[in-house]
Amino acid sequence: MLLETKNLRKSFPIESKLLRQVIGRVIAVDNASLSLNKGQVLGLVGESGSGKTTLGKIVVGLIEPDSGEIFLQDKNIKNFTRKERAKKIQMVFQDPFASLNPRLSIGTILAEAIRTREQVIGNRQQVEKIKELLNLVGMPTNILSDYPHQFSGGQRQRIGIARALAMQPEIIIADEPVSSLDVSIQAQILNLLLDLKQKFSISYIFITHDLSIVTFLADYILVMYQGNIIEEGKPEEILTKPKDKYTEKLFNSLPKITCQIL
Amino acid sequence: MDEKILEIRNLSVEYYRRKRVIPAVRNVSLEINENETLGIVGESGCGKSTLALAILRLINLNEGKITSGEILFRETDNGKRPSAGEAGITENKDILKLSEEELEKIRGGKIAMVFQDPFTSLNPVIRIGEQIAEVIRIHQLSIIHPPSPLLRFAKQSGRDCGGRANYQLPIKEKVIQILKQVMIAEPERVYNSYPHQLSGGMQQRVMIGMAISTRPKIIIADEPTTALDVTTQKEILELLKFLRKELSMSIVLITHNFGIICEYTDRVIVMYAGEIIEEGEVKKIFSLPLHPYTQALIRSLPKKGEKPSRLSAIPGQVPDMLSLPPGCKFNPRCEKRMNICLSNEPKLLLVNQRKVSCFLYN
Repeated sequence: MLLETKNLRKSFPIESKLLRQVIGRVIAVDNASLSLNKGQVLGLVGESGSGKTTLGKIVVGLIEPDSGEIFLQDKNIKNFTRKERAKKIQMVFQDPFASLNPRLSIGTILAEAIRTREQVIGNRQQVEKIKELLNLVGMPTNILSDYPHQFSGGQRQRIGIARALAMQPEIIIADEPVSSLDVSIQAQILNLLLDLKQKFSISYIFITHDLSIVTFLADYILVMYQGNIIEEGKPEEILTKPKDKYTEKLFNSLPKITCQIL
Repeated sequence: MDEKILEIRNLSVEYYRRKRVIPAVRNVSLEINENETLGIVGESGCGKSTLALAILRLINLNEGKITSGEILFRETDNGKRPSAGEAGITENKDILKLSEEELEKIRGGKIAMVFQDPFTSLNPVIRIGEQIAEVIRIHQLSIIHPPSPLLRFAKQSGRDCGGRANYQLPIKEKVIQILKQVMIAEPERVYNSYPHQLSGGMQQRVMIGMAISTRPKIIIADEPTTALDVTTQKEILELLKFLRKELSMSIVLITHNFGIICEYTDRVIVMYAGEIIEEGEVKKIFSLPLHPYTQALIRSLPKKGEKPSRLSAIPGQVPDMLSLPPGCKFNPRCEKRMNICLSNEPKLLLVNQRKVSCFLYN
């Protein structure tokens, strides 16, 4: 077992408009338990507001849960320092336009990640590393002094993936990595993620609302609704005989390409 | 019926940015028939939204303009003005040549638009009921049964005389009826709500309600479900489908989702870099796409239940409209590229019961 979470729970306060007093709490994630094996792709589906992104952020460490435990390689995550955790788990964000600092060059963005992993590294070595990373994600290597705004959404997402890879993580949490990309580019990025999985045996938690993507990628699917994991199983099982009414509704609402495709 | 209701001939739209010209729509001709759903599909920046805006002359003049072409709207006067004695006469109006006053009658009246993002399209400080009432007031004074001579005068002179208290009741009834038509469960509550009190799906229903309140002939829906959840998405599309039959309108559905195109449209237009590259019946195009771009797009979609080890991707990027390649605009990404593609632009020709622009079939 690479990663396991037990009864994770997170609620956010609702503040009154006038005095910002807490007048209630909204439960974003309720009792979420999941487990991820090495080399596995775990699909996390649900509509917006179902808590899937919050769950992803808890696992990567961007949000502290109210209660519950996370075990990484059978050790409680509390025993890891922030850096150790970052070396194991990385995240690729939904919006490639918002997740790269517009004032840093691509070289700086990637160098930052590399230096987090290896403190002592010579300049030449560092440049070598960056070029290697860019090669991995299929980007040209002469872009080190370019800035994020010079790239398209798909290219930025590749840079985001390169940044995650710089830590040589064992788990990548991909939060809707293709939902803001064009259809013709989506397939490129999904293929890249699959290639990297084979090359480095990375495990993914793939967060999405696009069921056609998840059934294609995932080995195991969790369906979330209002903070709860309401159904889990292999894609074929969930697809053919969903047990929960909501899952059925979710899958039926997907527009299908019904016409015969050659 | 297969009668044309709108015909676009050789329409070109350009945007200007820092003295550079962006040819957003280039020489597009298409027609919309009565009672059909026409899908327009393409990637971002291919000009599909610009085309939609151009139909209603909504292009911001500070940013760009329609450089050439005709947009002919066939208007049927179906006897609503018996005094004129011209019942049933049809005439073609070129939207691009109309005066602003005449255009107002068509824009929002005969041709309505539903935008992508209901959050930004609704006015946040005006109640829903009032926003829909406003549309009715502007376009269809006659259905309000003016109760007093003063109001009848207001109707004739085409002005709002300020006697709102008198209008209110009949308009409210009409608005509630519209809210019911777009299947809002509690029309009374929604009538008195502000936009932020409604969910995205409800807001989009209100937008559709506004669009149908004037009984338009055509609704242009520009990515109406992109901002919504998958479950809500289906409800909205089903609603549009239902209303199209109920009110016998035509719908132009702009989307980048091939699944939606396949399930909800009769005819589809595939756009690439500001041009139509393939056009025809949905079933024909999906069963046998001819243009290499359409073929590649359909192949790159993950299919439900299937699990190939890789998806087939289209190499390269969405074209930069500022530096389009010579020849066929798809040639840098095309796997079936020939020498002629590098220098000559293909024309949209009739092949195999559909139109396609590719040298493979010329």
